[in-house]
Amino acid sequence: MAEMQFMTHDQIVSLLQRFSEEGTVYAPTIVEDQVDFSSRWEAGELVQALKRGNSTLPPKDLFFPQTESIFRFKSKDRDLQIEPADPEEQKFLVFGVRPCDARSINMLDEVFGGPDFEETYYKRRRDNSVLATWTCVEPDQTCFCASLGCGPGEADNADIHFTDVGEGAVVQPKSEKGRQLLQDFGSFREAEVEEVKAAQRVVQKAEEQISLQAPVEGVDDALTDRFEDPVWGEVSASCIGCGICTYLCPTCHCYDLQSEVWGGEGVRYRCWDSCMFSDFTRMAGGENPRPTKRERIRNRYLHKFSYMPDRYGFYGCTGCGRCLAHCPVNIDVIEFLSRAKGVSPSE
Amino acid sequence: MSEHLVPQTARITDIVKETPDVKTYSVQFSSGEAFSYLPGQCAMLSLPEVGEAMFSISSSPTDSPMEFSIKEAGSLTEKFHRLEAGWDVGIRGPYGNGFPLDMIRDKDLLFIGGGIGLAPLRSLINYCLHHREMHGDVHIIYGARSPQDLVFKRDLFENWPECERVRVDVTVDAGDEDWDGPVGFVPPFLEELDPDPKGKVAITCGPPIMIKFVVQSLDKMGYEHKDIVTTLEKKMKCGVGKCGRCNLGSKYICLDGPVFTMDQLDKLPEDY
Amino acid sequence: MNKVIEDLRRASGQLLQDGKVHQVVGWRRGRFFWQGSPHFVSDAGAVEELTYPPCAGGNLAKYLVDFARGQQPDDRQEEDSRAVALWTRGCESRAVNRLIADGVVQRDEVYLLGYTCPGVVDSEKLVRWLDGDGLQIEDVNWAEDDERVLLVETADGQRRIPADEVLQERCLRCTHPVPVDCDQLVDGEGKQPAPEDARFEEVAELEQLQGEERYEFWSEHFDRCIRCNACRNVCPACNCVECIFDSELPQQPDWLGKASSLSEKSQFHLIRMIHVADRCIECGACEVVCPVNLPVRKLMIKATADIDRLFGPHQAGLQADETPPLQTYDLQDPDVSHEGRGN
Repeated sequence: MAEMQFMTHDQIVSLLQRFSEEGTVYAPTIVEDQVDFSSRWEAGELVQALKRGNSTLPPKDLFFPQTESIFRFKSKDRDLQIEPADPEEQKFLVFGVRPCDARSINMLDEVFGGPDFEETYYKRRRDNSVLATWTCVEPDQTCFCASLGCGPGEADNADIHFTDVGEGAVVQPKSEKGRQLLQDFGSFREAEVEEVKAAQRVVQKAEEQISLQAPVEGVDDALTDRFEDPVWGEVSASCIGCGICTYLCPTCHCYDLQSEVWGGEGVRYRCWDSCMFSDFTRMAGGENPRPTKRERIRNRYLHKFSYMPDRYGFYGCTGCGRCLAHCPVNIDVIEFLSRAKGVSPSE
Repeated sequence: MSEHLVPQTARITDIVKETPDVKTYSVQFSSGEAFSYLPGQCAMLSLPEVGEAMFSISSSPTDSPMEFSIKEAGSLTEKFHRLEAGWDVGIRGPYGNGFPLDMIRDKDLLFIGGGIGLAPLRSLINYCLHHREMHGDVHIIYGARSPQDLVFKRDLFENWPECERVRVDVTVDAGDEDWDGPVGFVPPFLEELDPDPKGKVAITCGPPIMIKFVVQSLDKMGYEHKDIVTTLEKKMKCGVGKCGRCNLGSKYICLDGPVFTMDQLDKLPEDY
Repeated sequence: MNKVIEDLRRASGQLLQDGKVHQVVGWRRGRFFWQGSPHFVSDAGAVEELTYPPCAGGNLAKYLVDFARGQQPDDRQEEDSRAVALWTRGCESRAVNRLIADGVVQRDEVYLLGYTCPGVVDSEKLVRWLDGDGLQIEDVNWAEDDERVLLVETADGQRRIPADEVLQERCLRCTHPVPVDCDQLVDGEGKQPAPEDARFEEVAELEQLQGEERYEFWSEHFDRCIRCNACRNVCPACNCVECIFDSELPQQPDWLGKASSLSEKSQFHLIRMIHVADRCIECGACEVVCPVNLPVRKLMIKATADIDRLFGPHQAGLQADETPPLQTYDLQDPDVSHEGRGN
C-alpha cells in the first residue's frame, strides 16, 4: 500500500461506522456549543464538528478516565477480600484528534509507562486503541503549539493522520494499526499528486495562522533556583484555586485514589485530582506543605517547565492553549514564561 | 499482569501498644509470601473502606514477621487503632529507595530519632545489628515528648544496650516522677553528647522541626551533609511516582526517596 | 466608561499614595479581547495598569476571603493592618455585605471604591453580532463619546455597538448596578437597573416542566460537569473555612467523593445550591467561569425564586446586618400557611 491515500468525507464516515460494529468510535461532537469527543457523534455533523476549534476537554480521559475502578473489596467480620477490577478490553478508535493532543498522549505514555512502574490500566487502553489524528485546519487564537515543537499537521505518534482538502481528506497511515484500520474498514484510493500538494498547502496555511508564540526555549534553565521568587506571588494573585487549568490540560495527570463503600463492600477507584486544589497535599494531621495558591501555582508551573524536562526530557506542555482560553481569571502561561525568562511579554 | 495499585491482603498476627497513640502491628501475607524489602522502604497499608496510607516498615528484613508502627493521626490510623489481631488489612509495596546500605558499610553509625521517627531507623538498626561485622560502632540517640511516648522500649532499654559496641542515649522533653533519665530536646542533647564525626554517618528521622534542628546541630559538630542521612514524609497516594503529590522538585519521595542525604536535599527545593 | 476608569485610577492612586490602603484590587486587560483579569496593584505608580475591560468576569469580592485567611500573596509587614481597596460594582458590594454578615470580613478591612456597573460584555454574543458580516473581532473598547457604546475593531474597520445589546444574561437581569454600599462613588452613567420582577423570568419555563422532565434536564447538564470546583471557588457565598467537598479533613469522613459519576456530580451541585441559596447575590459568576457551559446560575435562580416565595421577598447582600431567610424561623413565613409554590 502506498503511504498517501484519499478518502471522501462519506468514506470517512463509513469507515467509522464500520469500525463501530466491532468497537467504539469517539469523534468530535458538538454539545452545548462546544466540541467534545463522544461515542454519540453524529455522522451528519462530523465534518462541521471537525471544522470547529479543538475540543474543550482533551481526549486524555479515554486513556486516563476521570474515574476508573481499580479493585472491589468485601470485608466480612475480620476477613478482607480484594478482587482486581475487570480489565477494559473494548477496542476503540479516537478520531479527529489534533496533533497537539496526540503529542500529549505521547507524553502520558512516558509518565504512565516505564521504567519505574508501568500502569497497566493505561497501557491496556493504549493497546486497545487506534489514534486517528486530523490536521488542525483552523487553529484557535490561543494555540501556540509551534513553540513547543509541535504543529497543526504533525503527529508522529498517530496511527493514521487525515488532512482535510475540501471534498475529502488525504490519509496517511503511520503505524501498523493505522494500515490495518484502512485495510479492514476503509474504502479509499491512492491520493493524486495534486491532492497531496493541496494537503501540504492546508498544513502550511494553518501553520501561518498560528501567530502566538511562547518563549519556552531554555525556560527550564531560567527556572533553576527560582523556588523563592517574587514571580510566584505575582502570577498566583488572581488564582481562584479551581481545577480548570489542570482538568483541561492534556498532559496533567495527577490523581487520587478513593473508595466508594456500601455496607461491608465497595470499590476502590482512581480519579483525577488537581494540584490546584487546597486539599491536594494536605496530610492526615492537617499540615500542608503547599498551604496557599502561591505554592500550588509554583508547583504546577515548575512541574511543567522544570521538573518534567528534568525527569522525562520534555516540557509538560503542548501549546494547545486550553489553560489560556479557559482560566476564569485569565492566568496566562505565556506571560508567565516571559516573566520567568525576564523578557517583556511583547518581545 | 502486575496491577500495582491493587493490594494483597495480610492478616494482623500481633499488636503491641507502644505508647498511648502508637501501636506496632505484625502482619502475615495471606498468600503466605511476603514481598522482600530493604530497611527504610515503605508500604501502603489500607482498610479499603476508610483509605490507604504510606507507612515505613519498622522491622528489619532479617526478621520475621513484618512490622509497622502506626501513630494515630487521622481517620485511617484511628480505625487501625481499633483493630485486633486476626483482622485483615490491604498491603502493597515495597516502595522507595531504602537506606544507602553501601554508603554506611564499615562506618560508625549515629542514629538520631524523635517520636515515631524511630520506626524506619529501627529497621536499619536491627539490620545492622544482624550484620554486625559489616558496621562499626552504633550510637542511638532518641527522644520523645514524655516517658510514656517512648516507642520500642524493649529495644531501647533491653535489646540494643545488650549488643556489642552499641550505645543508647534516651531523653524526654518533659519527665515524670518515675523518669530519672535525661530531660531535654533531642538537638541540645545531641550536642551535649557530642559524638565525633570522624568515620561516622548520622541517620536521623523524626518530626520535620526536629530534623531541621538536628541538622543544624550536626553542622555545628562538624558533620558534612554527605554524611547525614534522613528520611522524609509527605502525603502519598500512588506510591509509584505518578499521582503528583510527594514531589520535591523533580524527585518523588515515594520513588526516589524517602531516604536522602542532606547533600541531595540541599539541591532540592524546600517543598516539605 | 473611559472617564469612569480614569477617575477610578486617580482615586486608587490617591488611596495608595496616602497609605490608606495597602493594595487596590481592580481589573486589567487580558491577552484577548474576550478576557479581563483581576489585577492587584500596591504601587501608586502602577495604577495605569488598572482598567475596566468590557469582559470583566468573576466577582472581585471573593479575594477578600483570601486576604482575610492569609491565602493571598501579600508582602505586607505583619503589623500593617491597612485596608484593601476594591473596585466595586453592585454585585461586588452585595458580596462584601454577605462576607461581613457571614463574619468573614470586617467592614474596615476593605475600602470600597464604587462605580455604577456598565455591565459585562458576553463575548459570544458579540461574536454572533458580527458573524453575519463575516467579521472577526480584533479588539473591543469603550467608546470615548458615549458611555454605553462599544467600539469594536475588525479587519473591516471600526463598528459601534450599544453595550446593552451584547451584555451577559446575568447583567441584563441585574437589579443593582450601583453599589449598595461604598466609601467613595465614582460618577458615571452605567447600566440601568433591571426591574425586580425580571429576576426569575429565566426559570419560568423550567418551572413549567414536569418533575421527570426537570430531572432529565438537570441530569443531562450535571453529567457534563467536570468537577473543577470553579463555580464554588468564584462564589462569594462559598466562604466556609472547611468546605464539605474538600477531602481528608482530619477526623472527618469524605462526604462526597471525587468520582465523576452522575450521582456525585448531582450531589455536588444540589448540596451547593441548598447551602448558598439564601445567601446568593445573583452575580452569576458561577456560570461565567464554568468551562463546560453548565446553567449553574439558572439552578441558583430557581433556588432564590423558591426562597423568595416561601419566605417572603428577599435579595441577599443588600445590607451587611441581614440574616438570611434559611437562618431564621418565622411563624409568618408564607410556607407555614401552605401558600408557597416552591415545589
